[in-house]
Amino acid sequence: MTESIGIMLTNVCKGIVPFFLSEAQTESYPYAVYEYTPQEFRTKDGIYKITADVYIRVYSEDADDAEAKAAAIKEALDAYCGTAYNNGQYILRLQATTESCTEGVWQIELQYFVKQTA
Amino acid sequence: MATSRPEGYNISLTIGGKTLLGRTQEDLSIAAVTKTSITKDDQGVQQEQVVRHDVTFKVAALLSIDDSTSTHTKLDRDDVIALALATGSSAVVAVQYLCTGGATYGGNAIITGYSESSSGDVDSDATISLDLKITGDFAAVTNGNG
Repeated sequence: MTESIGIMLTNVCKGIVPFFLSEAQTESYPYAVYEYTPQEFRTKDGIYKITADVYIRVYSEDADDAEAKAAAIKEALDAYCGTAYNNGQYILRLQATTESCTEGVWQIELQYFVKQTA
Repeated sequence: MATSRPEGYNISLTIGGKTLLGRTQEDLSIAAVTKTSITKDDQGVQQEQVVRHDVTFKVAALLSIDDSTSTHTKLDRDDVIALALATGSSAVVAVQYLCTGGATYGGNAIITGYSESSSGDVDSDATISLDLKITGDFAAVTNGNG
């Protein structure tokens, strides 16, 4: 089993807002970055589960836009985890949402617990 | 002379030729059973003599169900429960204890205990645990590389 949480997040979110790992590769808003530290769980036959606390941060100069993008990400992730395509491979649970504004840039952080099982 | 220290996943216990599905831990214990004796010639110091060994295994695994219709290549939870509930000669299973680079040991065993553990915590894994005791000889059936 190969860890693919980042790939899944990117595939689901990249159509909503420019989506990057750790650091934005753009100078224009809006964009989102994500961070996570996966933890592997093993039997003697190999990895059977990977969990991670995932932090997705949406940045925008407009509060409404930031909220709309964050809501779209939440909706897309909820929909993905409920699809037959996912087939139970990923379980996502929203843990917390925080909102802040620094020098006119709004940040909405979505904290998820993610479990990959296949 | 080369030495090796196999990782834990290179050590396995087979029961009837199969390992447990989702196994996470396999423990071997060899305990000497001794007889204490003392004669006048021992001048007050008790003597211990090993008369046999109690060889036991404890296996832990994730509670796993193999719902494939073909013959299972590993023992799932229901296979293990069936073994644990067996009686008479059916309760005796052949076991082999393998270690990469080392000798393989074999013998017959009975299952002396089976337990399951599950909780309502989110994302917790249900687990099973199996206790076995060797009946009769437990000896090397193949030599190690060393």
